[in-house]
Amino acid sequence: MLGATLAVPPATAPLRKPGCAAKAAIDPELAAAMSGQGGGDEPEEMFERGWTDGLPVIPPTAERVEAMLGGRDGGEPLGLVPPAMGEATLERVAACAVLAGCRPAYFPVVAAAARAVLDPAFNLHGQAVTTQPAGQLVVVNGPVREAIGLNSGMGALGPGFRANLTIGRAVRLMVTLTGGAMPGAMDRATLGHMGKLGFCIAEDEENSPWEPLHVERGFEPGQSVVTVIGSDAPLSISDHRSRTPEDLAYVLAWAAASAWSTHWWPLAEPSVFVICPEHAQMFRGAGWTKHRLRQFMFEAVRKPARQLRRGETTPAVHAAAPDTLVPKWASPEAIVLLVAGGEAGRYSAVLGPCTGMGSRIVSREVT
Amino acid sequence: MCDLVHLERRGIPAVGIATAPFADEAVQQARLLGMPGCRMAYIPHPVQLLSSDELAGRADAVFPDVLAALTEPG
Amino acid sequence: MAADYVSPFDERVRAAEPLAPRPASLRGRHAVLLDIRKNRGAEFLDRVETLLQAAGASTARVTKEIFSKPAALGLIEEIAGGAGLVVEALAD
Repeated sequence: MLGATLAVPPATAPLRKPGCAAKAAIDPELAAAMSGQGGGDEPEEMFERGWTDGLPVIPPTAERVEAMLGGRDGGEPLGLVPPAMGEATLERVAACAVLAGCRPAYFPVVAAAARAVLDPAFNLHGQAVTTQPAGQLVVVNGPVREAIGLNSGMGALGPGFRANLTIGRAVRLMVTLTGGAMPGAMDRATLGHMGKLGFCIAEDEENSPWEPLHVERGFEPGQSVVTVIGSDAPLSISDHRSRTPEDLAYVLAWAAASAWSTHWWPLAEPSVFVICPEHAQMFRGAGWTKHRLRQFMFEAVRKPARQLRRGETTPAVHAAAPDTLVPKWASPEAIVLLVAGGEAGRYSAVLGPCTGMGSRIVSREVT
Repeated sequence: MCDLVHLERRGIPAVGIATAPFADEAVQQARLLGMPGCRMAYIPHPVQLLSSDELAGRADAVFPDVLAALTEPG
Repeated sequence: MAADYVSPFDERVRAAEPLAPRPASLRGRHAVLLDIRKNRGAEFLDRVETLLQAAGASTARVTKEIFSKPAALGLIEEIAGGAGLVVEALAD
């Protein structure tokens, strides 16, 4: 891994000083102000240290971090977090989990997600500093969902559930703090999106007619797995009227036509569809496998090259004959299908990709 | 920036060229990677819609900085 | 009294490393132009290459695998093996 070649000098003894990856040296005025503080305002102190994502955090005291580690070896190195190449020891990841508001029971999921985003194949570096909006989507499968209270039902893509919010946040705090990818500084996202505060979702395996994501990716149903994908914000897909699986599949697929870009076709990178239970039920009732749905969607979204030759478009579109049908996706594998959401309401969603990063979807077992 | 640091470590003088908005990020990252003196040269942003002549003009204008980055002692 | 916190930052101080020594001029040096593959970069480097040649350097062009990752170490080694100088562009 790239980071292994950076010659990092032996660690100095940890200093109780204000820390901020953006500062190369201690700010003497700040240090003086802090040492003079007696039992002061802890939440404000965290803001002053820069140990936040803009929201209040839980101060990572030694006791809280030890409780979060739960007896694990805090010195275990998980890797260097780009772009600052700060080392993510298990203890630092635990500190991020404490900051985020995680309960210790969530930590195995946080650790698995941290390992996943640090896999070189994921290219966290590119995602962390890009002008693109993408954040790191964390999808959780398996028994751990119920064990720790991860929500996969009503409001699956929104707030309200501690496990979802804080696990996603812990991962992003590792990227933002340990990795130095602070929005407005080394994180250059032109707009970004709120999922960059944290975006952890659980799949509703029980209401899904299909094999869940982790099983598709080669894991056993009974394994708990996190999968990370570089993704932008959800686009809502309303469909309350389709009466056939073909019509519904067509609507779902065409909703993604402008994911990433209206004419930059085809896309090799994944579009993640979150299909609500009512929509999934339509496919279940018609006996459609996931493969059949994916194939239908892949074939449904095509346009003649001449219609795509406006604004931002690809060399492939320019090279094609004017009436050649160009697909939205380079292959069916670019269509990721998950099931989640409340049992009432016909709103699914699609999340567009992070492109040009060579980023691969990465999964890690929760251990 | 990582590439430049790796090259400098191997004894190869290097310079990166970027558009101006990259400057503060590059300075920060060079410092965090342990080589704050790592050298960059900057051209005005944006470049995507420049004509060929304009783009060549940017290269001409920045070349003295490129030359200085590669030849002036650290 | 400051509480005993565990920092999320890797706060080890890295001693600043020096740059590689510089030649007095480009004349007779071999310059590698490393293209990070962003749009317009190759065209920009065409002009830079012409200027480097006018300054007396020999030149070669190398392309990075993908702009958003650091170059593979194999590529760095390959460049370092043959280059006297490197110009990497164009980040926008």
